[in-house]
Amino acid sequence: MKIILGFVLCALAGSALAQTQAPVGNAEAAKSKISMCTGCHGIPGYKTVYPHVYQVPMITGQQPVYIVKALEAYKSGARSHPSMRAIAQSLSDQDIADLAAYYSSEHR
Amino acid sequence: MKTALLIALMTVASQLAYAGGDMAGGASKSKPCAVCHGADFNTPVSADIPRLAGQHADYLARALADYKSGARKNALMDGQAAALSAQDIQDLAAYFQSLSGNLKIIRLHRLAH
Repeated sequence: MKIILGFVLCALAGSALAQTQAPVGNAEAAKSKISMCTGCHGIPGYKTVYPHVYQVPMITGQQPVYIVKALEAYKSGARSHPSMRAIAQSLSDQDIADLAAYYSSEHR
Repeated sequence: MKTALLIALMTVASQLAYAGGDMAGGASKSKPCAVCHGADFNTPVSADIPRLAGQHADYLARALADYKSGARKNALMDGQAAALSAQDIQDLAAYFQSLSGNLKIIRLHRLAH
């Protein structure tokens, strides 16, 4: 009985740990994933036109956790922008962590 | 050539649109924002708060308008933006864009292959 309880507790602890562990971002790994970003965010003066017209934000040098939250909000639909939603939905949690590490790190 | 001229004109036009924003007015209205986004708007108090210094004014104005309308939600920003007039938004956006900080664009053609 005690052994079974022990297993149950370990399993619960394990799943709790797994849920709280966010993937660690790897800026180097992001280099193969940024092509979908640079087509808009890498062009000075580039504007999104739907549903409103404005320059796409500068994301290089932005805060890492903010980038993760923004992408997660686009992915869930909490933040709405048609093309950003489609792109964010194609990203895994690891992709998001890697992109945040890349764009928040220092660049020349 | 015509394309380059057109782009130049569009760039000037987009900047003129934000000539509607008054940077001095924005500076005085930005005090409550500095509490979280940092006094220089480049060093926010935590990593989940965005840098604003140098960000494009039209993007910032869109973000504030969306918080105000409820299209974009954030526990802190909803209340802050609700109190802003359309002019306040233009002024703040113009002021933040005028500052310099870490934000920049890595140009497409500079990317390593």
